[in-house]
Amino acid sequence: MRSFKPDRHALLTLRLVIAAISVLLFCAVRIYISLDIVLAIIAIAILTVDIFFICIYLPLYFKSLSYDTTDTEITKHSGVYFISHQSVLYSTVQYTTVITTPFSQYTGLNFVVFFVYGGQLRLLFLNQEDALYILRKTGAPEKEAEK
Amino acid sequence: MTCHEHPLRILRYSMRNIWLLIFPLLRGLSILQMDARRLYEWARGAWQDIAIIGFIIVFGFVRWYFARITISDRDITQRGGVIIRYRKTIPLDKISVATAERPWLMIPLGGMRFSCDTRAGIFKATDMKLLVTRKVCNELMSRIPDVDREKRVDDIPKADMISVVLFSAFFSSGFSGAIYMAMFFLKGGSIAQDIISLWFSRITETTEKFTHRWLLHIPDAAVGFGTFIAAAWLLSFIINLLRYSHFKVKADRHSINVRCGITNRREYRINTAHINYTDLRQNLIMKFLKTVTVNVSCAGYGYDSRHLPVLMPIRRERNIGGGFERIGISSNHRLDFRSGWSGFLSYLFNPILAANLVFPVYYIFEDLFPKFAELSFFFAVMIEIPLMWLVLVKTVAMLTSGVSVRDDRVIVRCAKWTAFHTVIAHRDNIVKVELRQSLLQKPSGKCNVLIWFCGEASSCYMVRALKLREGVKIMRALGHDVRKKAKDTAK
Repeated sequence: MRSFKPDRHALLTLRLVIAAISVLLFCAVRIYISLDIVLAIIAIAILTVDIFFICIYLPLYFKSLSYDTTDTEITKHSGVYFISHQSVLYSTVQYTTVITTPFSQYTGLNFVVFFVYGGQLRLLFLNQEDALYILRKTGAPEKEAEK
Repeated sequence: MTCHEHPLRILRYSMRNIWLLIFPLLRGLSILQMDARRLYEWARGAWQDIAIIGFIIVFGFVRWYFARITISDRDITQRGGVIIRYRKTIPLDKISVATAERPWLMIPLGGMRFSCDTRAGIFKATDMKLLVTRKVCNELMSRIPDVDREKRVDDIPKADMISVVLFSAFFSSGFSGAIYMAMFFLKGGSIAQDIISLWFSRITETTEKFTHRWLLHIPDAAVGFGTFIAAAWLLSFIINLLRYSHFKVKADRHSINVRCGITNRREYRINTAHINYTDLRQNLIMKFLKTVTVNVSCAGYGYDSRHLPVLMPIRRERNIGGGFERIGISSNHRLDFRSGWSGFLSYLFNPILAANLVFPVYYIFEDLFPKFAELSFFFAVMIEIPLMWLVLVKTVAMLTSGVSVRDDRVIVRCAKWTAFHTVIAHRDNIVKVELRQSLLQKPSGKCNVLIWFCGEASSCYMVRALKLREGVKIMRALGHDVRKKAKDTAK
């Protein structure tokens, strides 16, 4: 059995993305709203949401997220409020979708989705090498998995 | 082999509804006079719109350029996305149904639609849809297993023209015709709105003249509504006729090949191992004529509301046998457990109650709104007719519904609304069985048996008013021991 944790770069990337979106949102609000008190309330709301996601939710989510693979199945453990454990046999995987972003080896934004009978298993924030390893387990040829 | 989709896809990628821009464009062109100076002035005024359209098309071209298909002996891979890239890989052996479509509009451009579906997913969405050239489509279809000529089952009955016409007539509805009109209305913008409004006003004028002369007691609006429903049904009938004409089925033990359609010629290749169950479907008239349509539940076949998963349009039930039996589709089954007349209340209480309530409700409505008396009478009659039909359907359902478990197969005969179903499935394809007894059924020792079959959307078939001990026997035959619980309930 082999265990995987999500790529830590992904946590940093998400934090940066959230911070950037918040700054843009605040700038947009500042252009259209001139009342200081309203502006201050919005800024505090954005800051609160940022702190919640950047400092509390995302670290807890990344801590809970892990994957265990054996020769026959993969299990995903995740959840902050409700912890779930989802297992899928490789033999039941009907098809796969891989989603990557630019510089995903640095950002850790690699996603693999296994489509199985009656649903799907989403493997999020994988390291590129781990994603390749998991894809190979489903029977994808070596070269095909690396493309 | 790696290739792009058909260049027509650029338009699709550009914007799903870019064709709507044709209406303002046509309006612009209609006021344009062919004069170089005026053309220049028009272009100067509309340069922003032209730039936006240009940007949309360039964006579509970029998306098309980055979208690629790779076909190998093992799988089909679709790549797409410009910044966020995705790669979808479907192994060939997991494909349940592959479809090749050749719409007549695309014939001059050499375009074809290819789609394939696996048993994965929650909803009935197609897993992969491609718009490709004819060459690529042929290449894709050549990788999908087809009927082996040497092992082909020869005595599969052919669907003749009468069978297709009858099928189109039975499965056309005013409702679906109205949906087609609504789609045209929504997509066609103001021009379609004008056409439909004009058409409606003509209908109203005609019906006014007609009713003033002949049918003085029927309100104009009611006749107009009736005419609209009849026209919608006719439209639906014509569409079904175009869709299912030239229906041809070939099969061997592993694969079924279905071809049909005139304006949009379609070819389906169905993996028989992936068929969840067979459904012999009937309506009341077909029941009396002892004819059925053979449907199959298989991911990707009849994947949307426009297409029915039909394998044989209309056929006498006793004539199905032969070739179909060899690929696992059988008929004329005797049922081991039936409900019969003792299920009178379970089947007929609700429809009879509803049918008896229509006119009392109409009288109350007439008292409250006397101005609408004629119109409400018309609607009361219009509601009463289908309810009486439903009473008839439920009476027949009561006498014919039942369950049988033979070897590794389950046969369920039941009715859903006004349609009769005979479902034949391998017991491995059953996902859930439920024995349900209501408080009203408890004194008579009756119960309902519900059986769920697997599929992208699991489907449930219910047989009402079976004896509880028969229900328990069915559960035991399917491998569920509920004897103790049933005994407790009986106590």
